[in-house]
Amino acid sequence: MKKRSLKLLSMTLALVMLLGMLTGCGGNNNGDKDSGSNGGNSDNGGAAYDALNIMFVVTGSLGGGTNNDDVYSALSDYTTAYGGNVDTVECNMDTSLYESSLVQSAEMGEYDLIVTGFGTMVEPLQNTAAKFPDQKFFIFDTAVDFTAGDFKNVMSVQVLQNEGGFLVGALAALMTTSDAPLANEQKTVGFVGAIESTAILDFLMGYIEGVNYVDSSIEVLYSFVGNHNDAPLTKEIATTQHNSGADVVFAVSSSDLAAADAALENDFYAICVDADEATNIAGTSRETAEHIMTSVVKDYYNMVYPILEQVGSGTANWGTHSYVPYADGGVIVADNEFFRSIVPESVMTEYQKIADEMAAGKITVSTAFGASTEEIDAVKALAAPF
Amino acid sequence: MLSYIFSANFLDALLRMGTPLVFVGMAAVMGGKANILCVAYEGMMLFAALGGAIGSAYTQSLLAGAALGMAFSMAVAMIFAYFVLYLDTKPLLAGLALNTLGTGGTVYVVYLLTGMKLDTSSLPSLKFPAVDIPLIKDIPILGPILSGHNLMTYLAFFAVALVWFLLKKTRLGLRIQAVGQDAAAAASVGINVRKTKFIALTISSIFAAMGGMYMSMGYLPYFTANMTAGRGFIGIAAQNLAVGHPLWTMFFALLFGASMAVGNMAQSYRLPSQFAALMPYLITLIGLVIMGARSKKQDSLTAEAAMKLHTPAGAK
Repeated sequence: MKKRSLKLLSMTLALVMLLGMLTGCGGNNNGDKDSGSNGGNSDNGGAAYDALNIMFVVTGSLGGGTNNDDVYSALSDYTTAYGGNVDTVECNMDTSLYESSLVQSAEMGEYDLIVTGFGTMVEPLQNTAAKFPDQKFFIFDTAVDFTAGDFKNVMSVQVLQNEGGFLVGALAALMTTSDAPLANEQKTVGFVGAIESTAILDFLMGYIEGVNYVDSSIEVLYSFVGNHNDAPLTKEIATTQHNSGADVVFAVSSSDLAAADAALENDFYAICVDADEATNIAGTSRETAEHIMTSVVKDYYNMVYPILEQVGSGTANWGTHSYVPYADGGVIVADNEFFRSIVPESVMTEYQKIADEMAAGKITVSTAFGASTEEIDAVKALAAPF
Repeated sequence: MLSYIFSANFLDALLRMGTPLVFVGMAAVMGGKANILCVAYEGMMLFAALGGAIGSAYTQSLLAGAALGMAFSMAVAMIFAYFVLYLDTKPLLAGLALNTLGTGGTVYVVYLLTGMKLDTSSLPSLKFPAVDIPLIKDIPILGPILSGHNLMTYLAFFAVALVWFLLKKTRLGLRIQAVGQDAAAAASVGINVRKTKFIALTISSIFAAMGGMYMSMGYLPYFTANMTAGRGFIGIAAQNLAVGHPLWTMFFALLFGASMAVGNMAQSYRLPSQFAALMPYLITLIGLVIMGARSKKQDSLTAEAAMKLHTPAGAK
């Protein structure tokens, strides 16, 4: 009996290891992986930085050119410059692994810092941080509720994505009322979100307010796909919005390129998210790139790196949440050749004025973080012309 | 809203959304007729979508791409057949396992080939063309409705006719149905049950492949991770609602397509997105209730008839 259960255990272990190999995950030691050239980012003004042993618990996976890769390069740049090591665990979006991965990393006790990210990680992190008060945690792109407990060992940081949403909203509004080649008569713009998460609602609220900042008689159509991976449905919804009069559609989803594909097929402008999609796709399909007006890019590198410096120099404010605003480069509206060729001169001038006001901190944008459903609905209601 | 439903835009959307569902519905009809509980269509579609995209990208030939897509899908069907028909695995388990393999395995292949885990947009894969039918496309009103759709959309309707013909008019079709209805009886008259089921599965994997390839080579020009997003299961739902009848399966598949299109549109009218996402499942539930009530009525009618038959006249 005992022998049998041992055999079962070893088989299960073998299977788990096999799966781990298949998906390329499981405690890879990537510490010696060569790093990007962004190391010069630190202004080493005499402050001494400590070597850091970092564990990066990745919600999804590395190697997809996604945000997590930017975070990883920030981490490895830091350790290359000042010593230390980065280990990673990939959860491949399996939420059941989130908390156990954090707990296991904390139990090992050999990491100076455990890094993770995104809204779905907040609860697992809060649970783990309460259990391991001596382990330092850092979570990016979301906010920890520091009123919910004594999290003296946690820091969270976020970029103000709603400011990015606001800027492209203003840009979309300027475009739909302009005489750009693909702009139509109707004063309508679109927004396709993957899911109604706080982060995506934050984008939407900024977008709606940005549109209204330019012209409140413009209608904003907004729809949600229900998930991140149904690219065909994302394309379909973008097409539907175009058929209802939208000539600019902002897609906030991992499948944002599908909206760009809809823009290519039906001749309208797409705005993408997370990476400079136009530049990325230009090599394979220049036509698609020519329909991507711009992309709102959250700069994960600049979100994470300064925090590492604070941790390394011992100046970190543990138990606090911080924001990186547009003014500090936390969120970027991609400026590439396609942006310059698509956006007409007159629109560009107007847009630049608004962007300058934003950078000067003269514009306040509503946020979905910490907002009640009523407050979010109130901003959604502004999507209709008034 | 109503004006949208009667517009050519709506019909286009319906056909775009419905095409993969019709294909996988036909796959489910073939599997269902042979009485194989196969839920692996999702996996077959995903592998076919990937195979088509990479095949066409590396050979720059649409036909070679389509062949590779079908080969991938058939390989999944073969594994399923081997486990279920030869090793007597529970079909539901084998199907679910293959679907999981479909989600993970395709991403793995994408990663090997492109170094990315999200999509194959960096590969120059090909697309099935849209077809303009000469003469018909010039007829007012009817022209734009009938012409200009993706090649695969026309093939989907052809597939329905093919399945109908195969099941009703050919010896193979009748054998498949005989095996499905009573394997022991079929075996007793000399039909090779395993072989017949194997053939039925192979045919259904071809249809699933077509549905999958439409996603990555018609709908979108590249493969994205888990892009089928449950369409394989909706095809099975359509087949179940239609009790395996090919034409009704097509009807329900298109109804699902229509409900997605209406859901997308309704969101623009401030209907909550959750409701739009719920539509196909709501239709399935309503359909199941109606079909259930119908078959119950039929059962009671048969029972009544049987009673009459067995009750001697005047014995009331």
